[in-house]
Amino acid sequence: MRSVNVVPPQKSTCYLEVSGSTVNRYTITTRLKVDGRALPGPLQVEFEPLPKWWGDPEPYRMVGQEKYFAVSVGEDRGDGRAIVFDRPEEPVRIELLDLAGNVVSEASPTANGVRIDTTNVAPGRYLVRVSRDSGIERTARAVDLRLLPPRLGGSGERPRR
Amino acid sequence: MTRISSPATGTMTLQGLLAAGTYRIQIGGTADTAYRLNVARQPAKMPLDAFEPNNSFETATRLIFLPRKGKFGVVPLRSEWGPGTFQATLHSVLSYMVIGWVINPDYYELEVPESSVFRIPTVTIAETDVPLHVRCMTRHGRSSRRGAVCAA
Repeated sequence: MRSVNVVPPQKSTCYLEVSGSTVNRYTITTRLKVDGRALPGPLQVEFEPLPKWWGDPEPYRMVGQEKYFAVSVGEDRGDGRAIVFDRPEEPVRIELLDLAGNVVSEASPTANGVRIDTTNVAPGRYLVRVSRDSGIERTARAVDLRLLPPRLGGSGERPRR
Repeated sequence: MTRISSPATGTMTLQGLLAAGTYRIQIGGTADTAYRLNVARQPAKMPLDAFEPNNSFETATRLIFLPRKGKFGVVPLRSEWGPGTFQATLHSVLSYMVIGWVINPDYYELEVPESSVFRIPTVTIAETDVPLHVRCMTRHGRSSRRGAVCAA
């Protein structure tokens, strides 16, 4: 096979053996995926969870017009009270949606980035929709989306006690 | 592909490690001319990847699906990779057991977190030059149930 997804059993330590009859090159990726079939409505596509900012993830390279991420709000104190992206080179719209596809909150620009305040958002699972401005013709140029710590995203973040 | 030109001898060489497949060579010029096209295949030595040595269960590369919170403060006892995408190679080694070159398998140890429909731990093997084999097994199944535990 040239490409395969392996879903190992949860909460386990298991092993993967990659072998072949000749020298070969390949890429190996570990990630979490979201089963889009679990979502109601028209958004039943394959998602990835929004990476944790504290994991210092690589910037996501967005090529298409629209991208969805799944995110849990209020699940982990370490996430902070905002979702913040570094200001991308090209204007993008970033929105927080509930699982039915309704816009709950929209990101607003700050001094350092683009920020969705989640202070008043009920804990639970949501979607982050990133879309390139519709007024701009789609180009082959990619947009890099880099997550920032909530504290670097501008005012409004206060330490929790 | 690297391109080496030698105007003195009128030769040009394109050289590189190519995945199996069909390729086309385009030759152009500004005037009528004769030329000789020579295509040669040579065995290439596949470089070691960053995971080596990972040729056994004992030396398996540890892959994780979630970044660790203590990443900046605590140094893990063993190096671990992920989440993310990494380049790897299967390469040949000289074996004294079979007296010849053999292809070394790669082993990965997966530390799999709790799963739900909103977070399904997934390993993807892709961008292979030629088809390869992937088997997944638990520590418990190392001796008896190889390849019987993962959904692919």
